[in-house]
Amino acid sequence: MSSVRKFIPENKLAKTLEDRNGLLMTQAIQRAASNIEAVRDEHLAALDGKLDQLCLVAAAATESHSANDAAQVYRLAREVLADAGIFGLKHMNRVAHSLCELMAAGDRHRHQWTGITVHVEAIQALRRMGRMAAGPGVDAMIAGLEKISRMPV
Amino acid sequence: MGAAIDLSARINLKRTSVLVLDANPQALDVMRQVLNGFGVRSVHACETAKDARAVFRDRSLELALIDPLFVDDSGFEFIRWARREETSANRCIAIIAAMGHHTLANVRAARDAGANIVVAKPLSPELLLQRIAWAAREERPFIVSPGYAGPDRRFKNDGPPPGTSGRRSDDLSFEVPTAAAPNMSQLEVDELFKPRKVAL
Repeated sequence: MSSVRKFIPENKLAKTLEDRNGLLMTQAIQRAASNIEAVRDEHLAALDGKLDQLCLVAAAATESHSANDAAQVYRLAREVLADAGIFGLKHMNRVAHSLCELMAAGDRHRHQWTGITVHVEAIQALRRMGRMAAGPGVDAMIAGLEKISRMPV
Repeated sequence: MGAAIDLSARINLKRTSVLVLDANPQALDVMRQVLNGFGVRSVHACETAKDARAVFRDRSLELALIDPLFVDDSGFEFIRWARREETSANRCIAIIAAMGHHTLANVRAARDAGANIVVAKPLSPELLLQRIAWAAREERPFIVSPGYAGPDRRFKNDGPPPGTSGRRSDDLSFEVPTAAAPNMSQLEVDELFKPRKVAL
């Protein structure tokens, strides 16, 4: 017979709420947002480095078809997704998300290598366009990428 | 859980100690900035599971923010390990799994590893604070079984709040009304189970 224990643990976070000496939720959110703004430039420079790395790793992966290289592409795509998202780079965030979907759908034998290349090229195009990356053309490109990542492998 | 936070409420996280585990140094830094903005003074930012285990063992924590996919999915393993640390005072703390890419399989894996909540990155300060406030109100029992250790994964459905009829047409009240008709007799119940020929 299996033994199952069930108990109510002390919630150590509970006492943080409703403390009169605490911060107003609005204040806390504003302070956090301004802290993020303070590191924006430094983080965008790091994101640039990651995009270079993604390019190199994706090229190596499409050549080698190795599981290790594919895992690196997936890891970098997740990082780009998070880093671009936090600083409001929504197009970059969407393409990185689509690339993540593509990487998660494949496995070591069945990755859509051409699709991966197309995504990485799209990320590079968005990077070149910078702030000009907007409008129906960009939306159509991303919609096309999302169609690729939703295709059955 | 999706309810917006009360912006006029107060929260005091000054004495809260938080473990953050993420292999992405930028994500780790953003999390640190956000938590500092919330007033958290003690943020233990770790890039490796080994460092996170050391913090988990040696420090008193109130909250952990883990990216379960951080390297080869080993964040799931970290959460499982944390929930099985019987001698640790941190075993039952709130664990928020923050994922850059959340497939259904990943969400299930985080839940089954013992995370309290799963959130998708990028995490805006408002969303994170909302989830922390939710975790602070958690009253779920903790389950320890051979196959699982962590917060009870079964959320009960209490129906709409007492005294209200609910917003959906199919909402049922949690209060059980008095019976409208007498109970069925045993004979009537037996009749329901009796096989019969159907006249076509």
